[in-house]
Amino acid sequence: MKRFFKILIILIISVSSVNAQEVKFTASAPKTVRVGEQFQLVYTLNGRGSNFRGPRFEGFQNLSGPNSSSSSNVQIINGSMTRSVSNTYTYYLRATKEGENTIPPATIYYDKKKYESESLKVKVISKGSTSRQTQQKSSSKQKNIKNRQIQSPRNEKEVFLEATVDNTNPYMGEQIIVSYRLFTKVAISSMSINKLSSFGGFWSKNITDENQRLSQTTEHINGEEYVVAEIRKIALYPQMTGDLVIEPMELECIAQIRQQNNSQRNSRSFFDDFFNSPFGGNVYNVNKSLKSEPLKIKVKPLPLKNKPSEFNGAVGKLTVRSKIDKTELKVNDAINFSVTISGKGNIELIDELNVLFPPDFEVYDPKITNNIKTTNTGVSGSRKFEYLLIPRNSGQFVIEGVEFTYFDVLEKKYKTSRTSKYTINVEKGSGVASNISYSGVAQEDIRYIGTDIMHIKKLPIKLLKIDNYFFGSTAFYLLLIIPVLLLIIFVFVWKNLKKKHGNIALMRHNNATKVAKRNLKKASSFLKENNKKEFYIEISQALWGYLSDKFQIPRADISMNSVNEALTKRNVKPEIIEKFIETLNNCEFARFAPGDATSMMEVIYNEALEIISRIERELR
Amino acid sequence: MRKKISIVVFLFFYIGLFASENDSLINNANKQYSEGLYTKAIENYQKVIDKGYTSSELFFNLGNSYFKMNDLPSSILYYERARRLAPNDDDIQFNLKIVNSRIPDKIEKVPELFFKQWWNSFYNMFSVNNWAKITILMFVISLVFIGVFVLSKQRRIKIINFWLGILFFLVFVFSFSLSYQKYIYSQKHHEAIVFTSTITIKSSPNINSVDLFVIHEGSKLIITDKVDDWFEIRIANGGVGWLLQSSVKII
Repeated sequence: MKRFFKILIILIISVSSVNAQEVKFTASAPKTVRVGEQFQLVYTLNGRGSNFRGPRFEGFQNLSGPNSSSSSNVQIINGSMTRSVSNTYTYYLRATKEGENTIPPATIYYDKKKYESESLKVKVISKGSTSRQTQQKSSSKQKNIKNRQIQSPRNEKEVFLEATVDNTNPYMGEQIIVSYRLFTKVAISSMSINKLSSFGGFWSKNITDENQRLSQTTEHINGEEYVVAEIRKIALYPQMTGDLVIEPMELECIAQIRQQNNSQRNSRSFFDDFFNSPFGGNVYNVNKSLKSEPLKIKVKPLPLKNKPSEFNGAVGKLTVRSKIDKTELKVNDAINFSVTISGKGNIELIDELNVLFPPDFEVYDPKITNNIKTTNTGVSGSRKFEYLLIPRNSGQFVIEGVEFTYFDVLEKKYKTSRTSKYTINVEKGSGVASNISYSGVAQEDIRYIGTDIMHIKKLPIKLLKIDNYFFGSTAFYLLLIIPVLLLIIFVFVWKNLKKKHGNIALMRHNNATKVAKRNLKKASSFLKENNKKEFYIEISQALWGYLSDKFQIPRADISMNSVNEALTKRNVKPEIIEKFIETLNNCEFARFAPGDATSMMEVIYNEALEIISRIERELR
Repeated sequence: MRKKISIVVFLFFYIGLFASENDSLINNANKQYSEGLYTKAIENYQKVIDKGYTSSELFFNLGNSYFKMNDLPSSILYYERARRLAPNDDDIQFNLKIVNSRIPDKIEKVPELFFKQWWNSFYNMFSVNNWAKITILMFVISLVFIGVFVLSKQRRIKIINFWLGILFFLVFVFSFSLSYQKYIYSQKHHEAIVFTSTITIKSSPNINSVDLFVIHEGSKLIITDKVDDWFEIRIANGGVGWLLQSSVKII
């Protein structure tokens, strides 16, 4: 019981001692910050406060806060126990305005009493100023790190960010790799990338494994040892030619500068513990923002020489394969046809393949799957185009081999790889399947797949001399005049000839009767003289001559037969012909016959006269 | 006389030599065209033309080559030249239609009356030289009929031949006038193709005059007048204006 009271008394004393403790409400913030830099503003109350009211910030941006936390601490020294409780309110601020800025006091109630913190003066310096490194007071009270302002290492190169590219003069579409490396001689506790480079004009692909720990190596630069961490590696594919700039990357890191035994000035030699949490000595967290240099890339255009027309921008080292699941099928069955492009290069940028499917096939848009592996050396993998084909008509079809052209960077040459071609036998479907295509009006118009100009003209080609016009030429006019002249000459000659030729025959024809009459007249005079011999000569002359002239029979050819023929031809009546021949016969007969010459001569004369006049009449 | 004959023989030989050389040039060019070497093909075709020859086929092939090189104005220029020589060639019409569908300007033609179309297709059925030959043939036929008319004695034959002679003489006069018209047309180079990518047509032959409308390369114009460096032009839809002659090439 006595002991109980002892404890009670101690407790009472201790509580009273807490009560007796002076209540302090303090504020702490770095004295100097840079514009845009993050820092912490911490209010601490050594007791359980309530109703905390923060200040209004001017020239600072409140990023987060107030975040309150409390801690209690019990200490027993030599049997006496001290218990301390503290409340902290933390703000994360960013300076926005250059100059001397004041943070007004905050207020808090403790034990129904109002406490006010002191107001803080924070000097905000411009971004570019590097003469003084910002310092920060330790954020965690628990670690019991001294809040001390330290001089930053004078050498700017304690920590720096370097961007390198493996090829500053690539071809368009050629892969280049940009790596960002952090060189440091001090420990870095944390870092955050503020701004990634923008890659205007490039297609980019991050090839860093985010989950992996940063790889670290050591490098010596100017005799100084640096730890190098590769922060990020990006594969870039230029999409345009000319001068391109990779904007710098910005990151912020907290360098931990450890200080031993307050030997502040010769700090450099102690910065050899990297990325380790210091467990001894004093550590200063230095917030640094780093920026890499902009990189200039000069992108060469792909050579125009021997550039195949089907080239669509693929650059690298690529191969193409195709696969088909069946080549024998029925109408309306589906075929899976896939083309895979694999290798190293900008395969993700290949949009379309020039596959010639038979026009009768129904072709669906390809399903594209990528299987891309990113390694430290760049992007490789495959891109698969899966086509679904449905033949709508039966027959034998050919899927031509797919030609894929790419630019081989190493050999600086365009290369074409080709897949094999497939012959597909489509049989007529049976039953239901075939009905689908024939239902309704199945006839189709002929589809034109493309238009092109007609092909050139082949030899023989007719060449004309320039301005060689037949019309209006001398030859043209000559050809007009010559026929006229020819015609005139022809008509003239024709008429002359006709005159000459026609005169004799015509005259004789026209004069036949006249001559015959003349002969008969002579004969009649001989009859009067009773000159028998002369009379008959004249008579026969008259008859034969008449026939000869009239029917244009040469005298030598004339005979009874030819007379008969000629007269028959002229459609003379047979009785007249008979009569004529009788007269001729009589004439010949009477010539040599004895007897009454006079009466006979008279009969013959009359007969001859009569037959000639009858023929004349007949012929008219 | 013997000398004359030898000259004639030599001339024939000479022309024959040239013809075979031209053929080989054209053959080469055709091969190069098929292989896709359009620049070389154009060079070879041009060589033949530079020797002073024209040919609708040659112009057609040149047009094709330029088309393949995507030089549309030149392509149109040569197709139009080919069409002047062979107005009814279907291939030329077809290709010209395709090329014209690819140039920026689509100028609506004022539609022609149907009988004018008929007339044009009839008129374009033969070239100038063929029309001239037809003219001579018609003349000779009419002369034959007239000759028969003059010489014949028989009344019926005389009447028939007289009218036939008159008919063919009229046909002769008609075809003569057609040939003449075509000849005049072929002598007159009054159409042009725009070769500048964009050109503003002015209201008068002065750079400071009002802008009327804008046409683009490949469009066909009809030249109606000329003042200094300026052409007065008319486009197919009837628009009239002035442009600098350096921006066009005459068909």
